[in-house]
Amino acid sequence: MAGSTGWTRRRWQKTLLAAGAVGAAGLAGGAWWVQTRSQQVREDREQAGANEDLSHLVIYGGPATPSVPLVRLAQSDALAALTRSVRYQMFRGHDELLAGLVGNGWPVSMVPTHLAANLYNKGMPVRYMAVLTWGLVYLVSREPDVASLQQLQKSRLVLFGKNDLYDHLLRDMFKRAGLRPDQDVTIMYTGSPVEAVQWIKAGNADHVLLPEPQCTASLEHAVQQSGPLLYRGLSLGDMRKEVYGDDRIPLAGVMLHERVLDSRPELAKAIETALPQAVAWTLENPQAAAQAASIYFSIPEQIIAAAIPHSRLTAQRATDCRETLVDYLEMIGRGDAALIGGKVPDGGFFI
Amino acid sequence: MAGFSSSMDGKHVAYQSRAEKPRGMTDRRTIWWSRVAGVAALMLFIAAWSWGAAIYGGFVLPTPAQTAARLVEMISNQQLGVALWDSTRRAFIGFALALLTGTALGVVAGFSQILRSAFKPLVIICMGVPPIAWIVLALLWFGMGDGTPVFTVFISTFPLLFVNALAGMSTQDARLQALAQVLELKPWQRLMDMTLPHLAAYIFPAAMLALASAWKVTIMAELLSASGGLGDALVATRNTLDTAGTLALMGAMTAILIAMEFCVLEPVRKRVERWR
Repeated sequence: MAGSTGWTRRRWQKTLLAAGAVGAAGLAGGAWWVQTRSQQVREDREQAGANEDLSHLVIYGGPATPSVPLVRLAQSDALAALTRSVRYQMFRGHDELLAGLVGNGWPVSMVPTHLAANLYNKGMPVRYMAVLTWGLVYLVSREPDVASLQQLQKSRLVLFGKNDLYDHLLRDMFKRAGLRPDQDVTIMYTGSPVEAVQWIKAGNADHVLLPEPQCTASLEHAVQQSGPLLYRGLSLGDMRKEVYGDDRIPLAGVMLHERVLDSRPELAKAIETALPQAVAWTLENPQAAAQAASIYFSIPEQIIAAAIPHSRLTAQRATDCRETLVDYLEMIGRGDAALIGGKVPDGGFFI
Repeated sequence: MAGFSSSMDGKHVAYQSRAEKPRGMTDRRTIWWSRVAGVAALMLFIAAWSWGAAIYGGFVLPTPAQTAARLVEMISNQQLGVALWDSTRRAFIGFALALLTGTALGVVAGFSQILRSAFKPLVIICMGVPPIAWIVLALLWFGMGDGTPVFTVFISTFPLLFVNALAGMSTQDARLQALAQVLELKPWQRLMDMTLPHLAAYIFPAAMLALASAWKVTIMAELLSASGGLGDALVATRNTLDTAGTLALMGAMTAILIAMEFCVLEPVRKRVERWR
């Protein structure tokens, strides 16, 4: 055929094909270029947002009683010399915490210890500074005087969070005490603490495992409403003492982002010094501490105040109690190593 | 002129211009290019993913290779098997119930204006309330088992199927109805040979949408209740900060949905639409 003039279908196809090929080549080249520069790009992005916020420090904490000393830390003048302003902010759950830590690089936060270990093992630039509590999880039962693990034989226990932290801790201690988890004690799961309390009130379970302040809250509600009374029983710490001889469970603590240690080490030091003072003040003035913290929690201040003495608050430096921390993380690791990121973190984790 | 042979085998005929090509027949080149385009789009997606992983780092966005490795690991650990079966079963039961009820009620409502108005508020309520609100109630009523996801799937997909069945009913050809009367067809014959095949054209697109929706709602319901299935697996990967695991599960979910649509719905559709 002689060459036809004008835009035939063939011509369109050829042009589009050529354009597509050029476009693909360009994209591939661009991708290769970015790949080689990606390290630089990442660092630039991090540098851009970093460290300006350390002079307007925000301390982050979760909806649990170890946050109360952090509220005090933010509101007292302990860090006033090194910062222009300090404030406390509450995160409501696991997802918000991750988003803030990974996305926004939160400098100082109260986190569950196993989560901090997991993040460190996954390569996040975080370090663990101090333990904030030696245990705040209790068994709440329909009868009083549950004082030993053996009393749990043939009973029904409900807890929230299948395959999560409390599940593995409990199963580990049951096994050590000789209780077979699903045969001697029936363990049931719900999605949230609220449902777990509903189950025990409805009579579907004999015991429920709750952390503070939900524990104190449920006991108070049981008193106020007409229904079965609930009693505080064994704590996880008591169970651990029965089985391992040591009743300390370092559930949560303060975690610092590495950029605080790199760019403002004096600020990190000041936080380390001021933390025990904040905890001591909280323990001596539970009402005032609860009042200051209650605007962040969604529970009344009397309940927070009542929960403080049961929360075993402390401010122990991580390097001073490293063995206890390692034991605790190993205990979790026996249940599910993925919860701590595969292994107990190395020395660089503990400040 | 074009230099092609004009074989008349019906399937692979080359045409000289688009105007000549009857609808429904595609020539070899278009088929080939469609396949290339599909594969190219997929490759581009994976390339963009790798790009993102390079920029943001392996914790926030793992590479496609890491995700694939994690998926293989999850399958070989048998972590996925039971969860897949649980989720698929629940989605399918809910979907089947919605399909049967929606079609049946749509057919019934098609016969009477009064019934149509009676059903309208019910359909509006089901359509207006988002599935996540139904889950909260379903948890209270059905607890931790299959009931919660199945109920939520049913409530959220039933309106779509009902409305489409109704639309099918109202577009029936009046001449065929008259023909049926003349031939004195029994009601059962009318239903099976006239009404249902006509409805199929309306129901099957809706069914495909409903199946995808059923799958998503099942996972959501499982995420919020501790009742096993893929939603629960998502909670586990979230708790252990296993981003590669989360992405691997998403890949598995997509694969299951595609499998359900092409292994179950497509063959049924082809068979039912053979009358065309």
